This record gives sequence, C-alpha cells and structure tokens, in this order.
Amino acid sequence: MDTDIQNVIEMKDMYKIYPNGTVANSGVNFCVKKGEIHALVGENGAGKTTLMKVLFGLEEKTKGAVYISGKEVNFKSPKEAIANGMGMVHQEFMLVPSYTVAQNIALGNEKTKKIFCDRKSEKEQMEKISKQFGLAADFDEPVYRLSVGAKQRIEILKVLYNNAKIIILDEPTAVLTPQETEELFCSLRLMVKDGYTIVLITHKIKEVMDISDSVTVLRNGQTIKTLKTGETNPDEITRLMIGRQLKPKRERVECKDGKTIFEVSHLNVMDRRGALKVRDMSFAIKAGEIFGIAGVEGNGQSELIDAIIGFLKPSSGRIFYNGKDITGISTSDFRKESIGYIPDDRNLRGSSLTQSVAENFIICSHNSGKFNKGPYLNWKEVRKDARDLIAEYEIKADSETALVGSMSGGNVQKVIVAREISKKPNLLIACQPTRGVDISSIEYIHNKIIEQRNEGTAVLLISAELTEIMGLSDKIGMLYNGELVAVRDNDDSVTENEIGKYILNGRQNPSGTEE
Amino acid sequence: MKQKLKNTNILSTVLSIVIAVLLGCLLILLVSDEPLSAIKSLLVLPLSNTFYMNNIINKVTPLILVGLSASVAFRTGLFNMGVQGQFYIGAFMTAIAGNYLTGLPKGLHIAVVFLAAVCGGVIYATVAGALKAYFNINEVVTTLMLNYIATLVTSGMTNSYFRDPDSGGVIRMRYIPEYLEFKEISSLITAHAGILIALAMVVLVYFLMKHSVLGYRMETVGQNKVFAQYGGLNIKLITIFCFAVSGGLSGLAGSVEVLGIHRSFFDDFASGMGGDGLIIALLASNHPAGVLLISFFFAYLKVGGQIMQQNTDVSRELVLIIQVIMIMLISSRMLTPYLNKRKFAKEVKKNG
Repeated sequence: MDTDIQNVIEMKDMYKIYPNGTVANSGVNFCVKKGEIHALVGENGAGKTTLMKVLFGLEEKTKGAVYISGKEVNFKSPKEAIANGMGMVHQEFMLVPSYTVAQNIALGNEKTKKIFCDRKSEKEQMEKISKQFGLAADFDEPVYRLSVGAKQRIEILKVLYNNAKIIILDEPTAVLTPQETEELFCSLRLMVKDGYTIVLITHKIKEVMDISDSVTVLRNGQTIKTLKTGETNPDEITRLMIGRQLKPKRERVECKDGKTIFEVSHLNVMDRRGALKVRDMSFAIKAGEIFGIAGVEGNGQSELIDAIIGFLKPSSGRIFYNGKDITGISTSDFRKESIGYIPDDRNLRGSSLTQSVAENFIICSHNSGKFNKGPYLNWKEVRKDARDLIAEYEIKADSETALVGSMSGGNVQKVIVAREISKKPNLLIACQPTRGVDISSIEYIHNKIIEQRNEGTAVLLISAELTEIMGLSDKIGMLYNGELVAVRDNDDSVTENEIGKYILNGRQNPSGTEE
Repeated sequence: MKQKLKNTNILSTVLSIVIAVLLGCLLILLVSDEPLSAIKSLLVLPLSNTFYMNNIINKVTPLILVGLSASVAFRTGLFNMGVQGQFYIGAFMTAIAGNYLTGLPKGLHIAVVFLAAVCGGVIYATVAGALKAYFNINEVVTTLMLNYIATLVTSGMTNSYFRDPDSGGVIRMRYIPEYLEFKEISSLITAHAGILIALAMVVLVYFLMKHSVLGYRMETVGQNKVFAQYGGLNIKLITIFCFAVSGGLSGLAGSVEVLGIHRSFFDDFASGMGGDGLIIALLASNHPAGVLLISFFFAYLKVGGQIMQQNTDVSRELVLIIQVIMIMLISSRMLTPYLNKRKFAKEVKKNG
C-alpha cells in the first residue's frame, strides 16, 4: 500500500437508522485520502450530515466500521473525535456571543500556567495559525459584533487550535457572499498544502468543481459514486445526485411593454423597535417582468415585505398595485387581491405543519364561494381540488389529508407555490422561494416562476442566493442597508462579483473590500 | 396518516379508561371489606333500573355542555379556564330572569330566560376574549380570575338582595315559576328535557367545527396563528367569537341545571363543573362525539359512585381517583405527538 496517499478516513458499509425508523444511511462507503479536499454531495436528506455526525461521534452508528488512518475507531462523543485529530464546523455556529474571539477559540482547551489561564501563549498560537492560513480575526472583539463570515473563520480557527488534522465543514458557504466564499477557499487550499485533510459537505456543484480534489455523491442514504473532480463535470455530478438529468430551463418569452402592475415609491419602513430598515425605496414592476432584489439577509427585506403585505405600516411612501394605492392595507384585504405571496419562513408563515395539505391549500380561498355556500364548507370539493393541485404540481404526498409536517421541505415549498400560483396572480411576491429545498424542487419552482412571468405576471423576487437572482430576474435591484443602491437590467454585463460588491458595500465604495 | 392517527387516539383513550377502571377495582379490593358488592355497585348497578339510568341522563346533560364549551376553545388554541364562572353566570341569570320577569307571556318568558342565560355567559367570556385579542393578556389568567368574581358575586347577591326569605338555612333564591321548569321527557324516560338541548348542541358544535368556514378558521388559528394571520384571517375577531361560543355553551349549561334540577340558584352549587368540562374536552381530544361519550362515562361513574357509597363501605371519592388516573394516562399519551412534533422541528432545523 502506498503510504503517502493512505486513506485517513475510511467508512465501510455504514448504516444509520434513527429510533423513529428514518433510515439515514444504508450502506455508505466513504474514503478520504490524506491531504485532499473531499466534497461530500447529495440532496437534502441524502444522509451527508448524518454520516459526518456518526464520524464525529455525535450520533451512534447502527452498523458499519470506521477507520481513521487505518485504525478502527468507534467514537462515542465528539470529545474522543477531537482527541483523535478531528474537527467539525457545524452549519449553525456554536460560539458564546458575549465572549471575545480569543476566549471562544480557547474554550474547552485553555492553556494553563499553574492554576491560571495563560492567555498570552494562547493568543500567540492563535495569531500564528491566523497568519499561516489567512484567517483574519480581531481576537479581543466580542463575538456578537462579528459578521457571519468572521464567525465562521473563528469556528475554523477553533478547530485548528484544537490540533485537528481532519476538518469537516458542513455547508460552510450557505451563509457567505461570493467574496467571503473565495476567501474561505483560499484558506482551505493553504491548509491542504500544509497536510490537513478537509471534508466539505455541500450541495452546490460549482463549489465542488472549484475546490475539491475528489467528490463522493450520496443519494437516498447510499454511496452512488466517488469520483476525481478533474475527471468529471457538473452535469455528471448533478445527474448522480438527483438520479436523472435536469430539465432545461423554461424558455423566456419577451413581453413587450407590459403595463406597470406594482410600484413602490419613496417607501420608508421602520421595524417594531423603531429602527429605519427600508430607506426611500422606489421601484416598479411591469407585467411579464421579474424584478429581483439581491441582498444579504437582514438588510430590510423582511420589513419591505411586511410593509407590502400589511404586517407593518410604512412611515412614509406609497405602494401601488394595478394603479390602486394599497399603502397600509390590512393583511386580510391584501390576501383578497390576486397577489401570490411565497413567504421566506415556510414552516411558520407559509404553511401549517399540523394541518393537512388540503387545509393548507384553502387558507385564502375557503371563503371565496368556490368551496363554501355561506357558512357551509364543502370538504368534498376542497379535497377534490387538493388532489388536482397535488397532481398538477407534482407534490409528493400520501394523500390530500396527509399532514404537511410529514412532508419534506421541498414538497412543503411546492404546496405553498401551488397555492399561491393557482390563484392566477397578477403579481407574485417570492421571498427566498428555494431556500433549503432539494435540487429537483428548485428546478421545478424556478420553472414555475418563469412560466408565470411568461404568462404576464409581475414577479417580485427576493433572494440572498445570487445565482437564483441572476438566473431568473429581468431587472436586479441591489439592496444594502435598506436602500436600493443600484438597479440594473440583467444582461450579460452584470457579474456576480459586481452584485456582491454592491450588496456588501453599498454605493459609496463599490470597489473596496469588506470592512 | 391522519386517519391512522385518529384510530390510535381512540384506541389509546379506550385503553386508558379500561386501565383506570381496573386500577380503581384493584383499589376497592385493597380497602373494602365487601369488594365484590362495591365493584358491582360502581359498574353494574347504574344500568340495573330506570331510576339510575335517568339519573345518569340528568348528570350527563350539563357535562356535555361544559365539555363542548371547553373543547371549542381548545380547538382554537385558547384555554377557557372560565367555564365555571360562565356556568354560574348563566345559572344566576336564569334564576333572576325566571323570578323577576314574571309579567311576560309564558312562551316569551321561557325564551327570555334562555336568552338571558346565554347572553350572560357570552358577555362574561367575551371580556376575557377581548382582553386577549386586543391587549394580548393571557386568557388563562383572566378567565381564572373571572371565575372568582363570578362565584363570589353570585354568592353575595344570592345571600343578600335576591335571597329567598323562606329559604331557611340554605343560601338560595326563590324557586322559579313551575311553567319554566323542564318537563320529564316521557313516563319511561323521566330525565328532564335538557338532554335534548345538549344533544342538539353536540350536533351544532360538530357542524361548526367540522363543516363550517368558521370552524376551519378557528382550527387554523389554533394550529398556527402566524400562518392564519399571514393568510389574512382576522385573529382578533376569531378569538372573540370563540370565547363567545364557549361562554354561551357554559351559560346554557348553567341554565339547564337550574331549569332541570335545582329550580333556583343555590350558592356555589356545582363547584366542580368547570373542571369537569375541561377534563372532558381534554379526554375527548376536543371532538364533539368524544365529548358525548366521555361525558356519559363520567356521569355513569358519578351515579355508580353514589350507589357504591350508599350500599357499601367505599366512599364515592374513589371515582375521583379513577378520573385522575385516566387523566394521567391520557395526558401522558398526549405527550407523544408533542414530542414527535419537537423532534420534527429539530429535524427541519438540521436539514434545512
């Protein structure tokens, strides 16, 4: 055996069945060579995270064998895994907000001088690591003041500080802007050069191609294939991930000079605590046009939407729909208009998990005369209509009486999309319509949105996902700190980088770097 | 899936009842010198003659109404702990209207008496509903407080202004005119006609909850308030409406008790009624048909307990023990879906 490129991680025939009967892994084989970046890809629910949790000792395996550097191990807790040179950066950060960066990094592994903490030598080591891998950090800053990207750097520093040689990153770029992602990848490359091994969990194929050396594809809890990244292409990986070819994107039909359906003029909105979150915003959307608002979350998106749908009263400015002033409309009246609204919070605002699919479908239409005769609600009709929608929108549900909470995220989102689009809206407001859903559902939802546009619906698309904004929009508004700092037609001249700069820095300094 | 869930629900409820009764019997074996006779009195004798059976029907009538009252609120995600207070207000208003509006034509008088009782319950509950809807004041606290007010104010009034001078040592109002009283249904079924009202309400509430637009809205608010609000439902109105219906049913229960059994308002005459209503709704999973069955079971045990106390050395408080065991069994079963839900929420968070 070649000692130079031995397998640092080897997982053989892994099974993981949760107590409630969910089979997360059924026969996964996973090998990672020393000194490589190994991408672990698969759709939501394919078993990536579970596999890594078993590896890291967070979950107990049902069956299978795990070898680290050729030695069989069976970690009962993350502590053992860390002691064996492993480190994991979770999707949700596990930092103490009020502690400083240095305190957070050292937490659990403090250096001591007799009975005192040796903060000085701790910091020296941190600075060394930080410099070596280009992971900039201000060690005396409390963590709550840091941006998401910076917090992630702290998590990685912490793992390195604990002497991990094998580092697992769970969807690290989900929260990052393109620039931050690039910086992260630079650091990862430096680490690999230094002999570290990295496992990158992701479902973004572009990243797989950009950075990984090999890639393992999981589907339905099984290993489909392990490939050298250099010997494959994005289409192949996609095909392996979802088990079929993606359908081509729906053609766009040019809509000539549609009339203005929706207009926002000089809108200012304060949040409930009185902070101005939307500043002097103006835009208009014509029929058959998708207006995409790009922006990092928390830059006024939710306040803008809340003002439009009547959850918040704008402090000044007007909102027009079909030429009618709907500023300050009540939510009840807003929902009576033929406006579709796909909220970003699908489990709370968008659907009622403990009710059936049919009950979820009729939230806006139960009193429209279609399903009711006065106070009498005709459930037969409701269920028939629900069955039709389930078939038409390719929703995977046991029946129309299945609880929405029993369905996967992608299917819940499809229920919402079906409900809102079946209204035949003149205006469709879609907020993060594909966040956290699987590739097939993303594809489906995107095509539905384009189909609506082609039929002459005005679409307001709000998303933090730049590829989504760029792939769908006719016009792109860049949102920074509650302001639309730029509005561009979405032609070939617009690049992801340019949008990234606007939404990170606003208009003052479009060429500068972060902070 | 929903169907399956329902079936396991019914199964585990029945099972809980059986286990509770068996444990009750076990307890009798331990404490009694004549256990077989006690068990027979508790479980078999209530069905042995028409007198006991009619007794059961009379007992079940108010239980159905207060059970429905609580379940309407539970279904909307609201806790009407004020069933007791609304019940007393309904009973009190019945006695007042029955005694002091005697100038009216008889038919009209009957209608007015009912109206007064129901309105009393509705208004009293709506106070809590409005506070919840407009100021988001916790309805559990307000309804519990309002119970004290209702109990004490009706007690005070009955003890002073409205006390029957001929009542002797008992604190009560005058008896209402005879034509207001419920008649016996027939010579065989000597129970009072209140049961017909209760059964009609079961049907009505079933229709409201399962087959009406309002019922759908109430359930949606109960399941996910944010979703309901985002869907354009008027939560404030639905909250108030729900309390009004709930209060109305409780008020009606009070009225039926006065018209059918007591013929007057006695000071604090049915102190466990509100609690029974809440428990029945809980055990019935807020389903009107379930309320009917559980109420019957409760009434059966109450009558059985009385017979047992008369005939043997076991006191009727044993029935309370059986009820409590039942509540524990069923509410621990109710934890299961709650736990599943939490697990599910966690899963969603994990996998995005």
